[in-house]
Amino acid sequence: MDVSMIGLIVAVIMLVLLASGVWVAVTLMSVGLISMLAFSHAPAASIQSTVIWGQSSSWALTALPLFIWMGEILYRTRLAKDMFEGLTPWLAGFPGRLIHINVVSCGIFAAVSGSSAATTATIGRITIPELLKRGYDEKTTIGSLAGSSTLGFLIPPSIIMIVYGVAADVSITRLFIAGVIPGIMLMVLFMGYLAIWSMLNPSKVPAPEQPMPILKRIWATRKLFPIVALMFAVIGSIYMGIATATEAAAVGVVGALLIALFSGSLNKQSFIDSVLGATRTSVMVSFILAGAAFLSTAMGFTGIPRELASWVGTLGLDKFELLLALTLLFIVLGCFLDGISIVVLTAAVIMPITQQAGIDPIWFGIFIVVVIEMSQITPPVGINLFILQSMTGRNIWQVAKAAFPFFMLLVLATVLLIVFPEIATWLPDTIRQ
Amino acid sequence: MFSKFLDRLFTWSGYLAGVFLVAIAVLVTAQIVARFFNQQIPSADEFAGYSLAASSFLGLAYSFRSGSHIRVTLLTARLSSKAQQVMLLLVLGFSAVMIAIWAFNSMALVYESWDFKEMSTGILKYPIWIPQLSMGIGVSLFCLAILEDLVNVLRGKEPNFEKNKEQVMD
Repeated sequence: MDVSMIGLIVAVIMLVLLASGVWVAVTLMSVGLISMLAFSHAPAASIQSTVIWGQSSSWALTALPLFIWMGEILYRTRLAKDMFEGLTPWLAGFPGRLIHINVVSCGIFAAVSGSSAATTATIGRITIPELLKRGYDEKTTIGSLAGSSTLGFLIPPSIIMIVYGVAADVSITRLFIAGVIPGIMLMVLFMGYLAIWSMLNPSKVPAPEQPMPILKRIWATRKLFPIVALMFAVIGSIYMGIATATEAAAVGVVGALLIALFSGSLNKQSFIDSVLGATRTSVMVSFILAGAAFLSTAMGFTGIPRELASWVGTLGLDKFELLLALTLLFIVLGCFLDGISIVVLTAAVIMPITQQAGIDPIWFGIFIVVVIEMSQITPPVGINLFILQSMTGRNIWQVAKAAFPFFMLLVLATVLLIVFPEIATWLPDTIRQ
Repeated sequence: MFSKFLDRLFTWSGYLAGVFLVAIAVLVTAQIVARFFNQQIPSADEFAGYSLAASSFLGLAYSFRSGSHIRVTLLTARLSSKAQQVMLLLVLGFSAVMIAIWAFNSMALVYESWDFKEMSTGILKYPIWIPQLSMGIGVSLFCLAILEDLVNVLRGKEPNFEKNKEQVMD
C-alpha cells in the first residue's frame, strides 16, 4: 500500500480514538501497535516492551518527577504569600502599581517551577483575592495571571522542555538555558502592555497607598530571600555547569523541603500529600511519553514521517511559511489537546520536517513552548483557563476574553522569535564556547 | 468485598510508586553529596532510572483511578447520557484490550530476560528481570483497574476514574 494512504488511515484512527474519549496515552500506544501490526513486518510485541522500557527507565527523564514534586512541596508552603508581601512595596512606583504583581511573581516563581498550571494555582491563590480586595480591575487581574502563568513553561526549569528534550533527543540543559531570554522578553512585553493600559485607563487603577519608607521597604524584601536562594540553587547550578538538569532538580527538592520546614508547613500529612500529588502527575506524563516513544518507533517502521517530510519538501515552503503553517496547526491542536500531548505528537511526526528545513532543534523547542503557551489560554481546552475558572468562579469564555490581550502578546513574541532567532539561540551558543 | 480488596491493592501500589519517586531524589542527592567527597555511588544513575520506571508503572492503576490521565471529553460530553454510557463502555473495552496486550508483552520481556539470564551493564551486576518486573506488575494492575471500571459501568455504577476526580483537585 502507498505510504500516504497508510498515513491517512493512521491519522484517521488517531483522531477517532481521541475524539471518542480514549485516554491520550492509550491512544498513542494503540495507534503505534495497530500501525505496526498492520503496515510493517517488524515484531511489534517485543519492540513495544523494549522501547517503552528503555524510555521509561532513562536517566534523562528522572528530572521530570523531581521538578513536579518540588512544585507540589512549594504549593503547600507560604512562599507565594511572602513573595506578594516582599514585592508589593517595590511595585508602588510603576504605572498601574500592583497590577504588575502577577507578571513579576509568576516570572520569579517560574524559575523554581516547571509547570504553568502549578504557577497559576500557586500564585493566583494569593494575588487574585489580594488585588480584588484592593480594588484592581477584575478583568485585567485575571487576564494578566492567565498570560503570565504561561511563563512557567518558558522560564526554566520546565516540564515541557524536559518532555521535548527527551522526545526530540535534544540537550535539556541547553533548552533550559535558551528559555531565559525569551522568558524575560515576554515579561517585558506583558509589563509594558499593563503600564500602557493603566495610563490609558487611570479610572480603573485604585489610588496609591501610603508610600513605605525606604528602610521598611528593604526590610519587607527579606521575605523574598528563600525563593531567590532557591532560584539560584536550581538555575545557577545548571548555568555554571556544575549540575545536570536532574541534579538541579534534586537540589530543588531539598531546598523546597527546607523552605517548607522553616516556614512550618512541613508535617507528615503535607509530605505524603505532596509525594502522592507528584506521583499522579508524573505517572500521567511518563505514561504519555511511553506511548509516544512507542508511536514514534512504529512511525519510523511505517516510513510515514520520512514521506511526510519529503512531501512538505516538494511544496517548496520557505522557513517562514513552514513555521507559519506549524503555528496555525499547533494553535488548532491546542484547542483540543494539552501541551505535553502536542509536543510528543510533534516529535514523532514533525521533527523530521523541521530538520529537513534546517531549523535548529533548540530554537524550535523554544518556539514550540511559546506556541503551546498560547494554546494553554485558548478555549475550549486550556489547562490555565480551567484553573482560573475554578479559582474565580467566572465561566471559561469570560476568562478567555480577559486573557485575549496576553494571547496577542504571545503572538507578537512568536513573531519576534522568528524574525530574531538569536533571542533563543544566543545564550546557549555563548555559554557553550 | 472484592472491590475493597482492589481498592487496597491499587492504593498500596500507588504508595509504592510514591516511595520510588522519593527514592529517585534520595539517590540523586546522595550522588551529589558523594561527589563532593570525591566518592561515587556505584550504579546510582542506573538505579535512579529504574526507580523512575518502577514509580511510573506501579502508579498507573492508582493515577488512573484518581482520574489523573488526560482524555478529550469535549465531543462525547455533547452526546445523550445513554450514548455517553455506550461510548464509555467501548472506550473502556478498547483500552482494556490494548493494555492487556501491553501487559502481556511486558511480562514476556521479563520472562525472556530471566530465561536468557540477562545481566545489567553497569558496575553492579544483577539480573535485569528484577527491575523489569515493575513494568510487568504495574501494567497488569493497570489492566485490572480498567476492567474493574468496565464492570462498574456495565452494572450501571459510576466508574472510579470519574468518581474520584473531584477529590484530586484541591
